[in-house]
Amino acid sequence: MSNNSKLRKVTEKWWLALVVLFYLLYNIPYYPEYGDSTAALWHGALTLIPLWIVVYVGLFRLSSLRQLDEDAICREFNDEGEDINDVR
Amino acid sequence: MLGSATVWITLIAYSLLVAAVGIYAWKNQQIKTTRNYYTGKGSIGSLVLVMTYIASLMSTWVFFAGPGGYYRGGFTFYLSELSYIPLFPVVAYFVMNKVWMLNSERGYTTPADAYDDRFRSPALRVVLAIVFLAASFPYVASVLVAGGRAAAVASGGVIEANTVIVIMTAIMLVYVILGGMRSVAWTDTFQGWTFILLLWAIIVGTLYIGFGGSLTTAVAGVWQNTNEWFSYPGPDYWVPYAARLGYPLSCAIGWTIMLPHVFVRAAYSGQDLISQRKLMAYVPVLQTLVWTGTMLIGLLAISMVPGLGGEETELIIPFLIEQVISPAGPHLAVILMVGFFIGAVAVGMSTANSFLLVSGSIVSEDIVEKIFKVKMNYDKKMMVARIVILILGIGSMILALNPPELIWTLIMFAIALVMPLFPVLVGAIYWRKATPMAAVISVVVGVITVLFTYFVWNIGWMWYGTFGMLASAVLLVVLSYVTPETDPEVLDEFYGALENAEKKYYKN
Repeated sequence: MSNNSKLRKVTEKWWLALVVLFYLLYNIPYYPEYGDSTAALWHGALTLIPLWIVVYVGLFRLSSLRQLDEDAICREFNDEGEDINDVR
Repeated sequence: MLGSATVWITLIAYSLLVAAVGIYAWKNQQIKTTRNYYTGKGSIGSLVLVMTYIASLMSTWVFFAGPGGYYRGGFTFYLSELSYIPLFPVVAYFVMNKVWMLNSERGYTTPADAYDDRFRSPALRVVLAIVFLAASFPYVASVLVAGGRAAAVASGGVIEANTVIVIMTAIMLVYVILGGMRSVAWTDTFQGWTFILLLWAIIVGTLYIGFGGSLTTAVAGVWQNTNEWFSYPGPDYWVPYAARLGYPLSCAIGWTIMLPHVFVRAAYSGQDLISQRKLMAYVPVLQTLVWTGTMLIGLLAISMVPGLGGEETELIIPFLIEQVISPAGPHLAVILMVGFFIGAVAVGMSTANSFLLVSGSIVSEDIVEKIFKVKMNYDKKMMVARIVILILGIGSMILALNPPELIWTLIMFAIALVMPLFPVLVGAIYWRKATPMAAVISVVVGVITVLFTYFVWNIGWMWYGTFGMLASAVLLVVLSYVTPETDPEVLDEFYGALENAEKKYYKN
C-alpha cells in the first residue's frame, strides 16, 4: 500500500470519527435544558459549526488525496457500450 | 386574491415553458436502452445532476407545511435540520459513490438492481420492489393534490383544485413519457431554480413590508415575545431530545439517500466522479438555502402574527400575503401570490415527475421483467416502460382527484420505511460475509419494526425509522453467520467490479 493510500485511509477514519463525534455532541441527552434559549443557541453553534467545518475540510482533503484519472473519465464518457445488466 | 384569468394565464404559460424544456431535452438525446430512459445512464452533468437531486428532494412541504412547521417547531427545529444536512457528503462518499462505481461497471436501472447484483436473491428483489414502490408511488398523488390546492388558495377558490391536478398531470406525462430521466432532470433544473428564487422573493417582500427590510428587528421581536421559539423543545413540542436525534437521522438516511428517486440520482445518473464530487459539495449548500428560506418565513410569520393554530400555519405564506402585505402593497401582494402559486406547482411537479419515473422503472423492470421474467426486445421494453408511466400517471391523477386516507398514511412514514434498507446496502458493499437470506429477513423485520414504531408504540413522530434500521443492522450481522453464504464466484464478480472501477477512475 502506498503512502498516499495509507494517508487517505487514516484521513477517512478521522473524518468519520470526527463527524460522528460532533453529531453525538449535538445530541447529548438532556442538554441544553428545555426552555433555555441562550443555551440552545450556544450549544448549536459549538456543535454544528464544527460539524460543518469537519465535513467540508475532510471532503476537500480527501478529494485532493484521491485524484481522479481524467483520461479514464473522458474515455468512459465517450463509450456507448451495451448495458452489462441487460446481458446478465 | 388573484383573478381567475391571472391564475389561468400563469398556469398555462408556466406549464408550456416546462413542457418546452422537457421536450427540448428529449429531442437532444438518443435513448438506446431503458436504463438510459430511467436513469440517464450516467450521462447527467454536474449542474443538472445537483439541481435534479435538489428539486426531486424538495416537495411541496417548502411552500405549505414547511414554513408552518418552523412557525410551530421553532429555531431548534431548524438547528436539528442543520445537523443532518452536512451528513450527505459523508454518506455519499462512503456508500453512494461506491454504488456509482459499481453501476458504471455493471449497469443498474432500478435501486433493487444494486442489491440483486450482490445477493442474487429473487425474494430480496420482490421485497425491495414492494418497499420502494410503497415509498414512492403515493407521493405522486399527494404532490398533485398540493399543487391543486395552491391554485385554489391563490385564486381564492375561483379555480378548482381538480382542474389544476389534471393539467399538471397531463404536462408532466408528456415530457416524462417522451424523454424519461433526461427530460425530468432538465425540467427539474428549471423548476428548482424557479421555486428557490420565488421562495426568496416572498421572504424579501415580507421582510421589506413587515420590518422595513431589517431581519434584526424581526428576530428581536420573536426573542422578546416568543422566546420559547429559540429553545428546545420548541413552541409546539416538535423537538424533544428524542426527535432531535430521530428526525435528522431519518432525513440523513431515509429522505436524502434511500427514497428511490434520490437514490437513482445519487448513485446512477451522474456523468462521472467529478459530477459526484460536485453533488457532495453543493447539495448541503442548496438544501440549507431552501430550508433557511422556509425557516425565515416561519420566523417572520411568528413575529408578525403570533398565536396561529395548526391549519392556519399550513397556509402561512398566502395568509401573510393577504393579511400583512396586501394592505401595505397590493401590487407586490399580487406578484408574491403568483410567486407562491408557481413556486408550489414547480416544487410539486419536480418531485412528482421523479417519483413517477422511478415508480415506472420499479414496475416495468423489477416486477414485469425480473420478477415475472417477461422477455422483451428493446422496442417492446421501451413501449412497456412508457405505457407503465402513462398508467401510473393516470392512476396517480385519479387518486389525487379523490385522495384516500391511506395516501397520507403512506407518505407520512415513507422516509422511515426505506431506512431498514440502508444497513443491507452498506453490508453489501463492505462485508463479504453478508448473506442473501440475512438481507431478506433484515429488510422484512426492519420494515415491520418501522410499522410497529408508528402504529403500535406510537413513537414514529420522534423516532421515525431509527429502530427499524437498528433491527435491520443487527439482524444482518447475526443472521449472516448462521445462513448459507453467497456463491464465491458471484462475490468475486461483484467486488472485482468495484475494484476495477476504483483502479480505473482514481490515480491512487
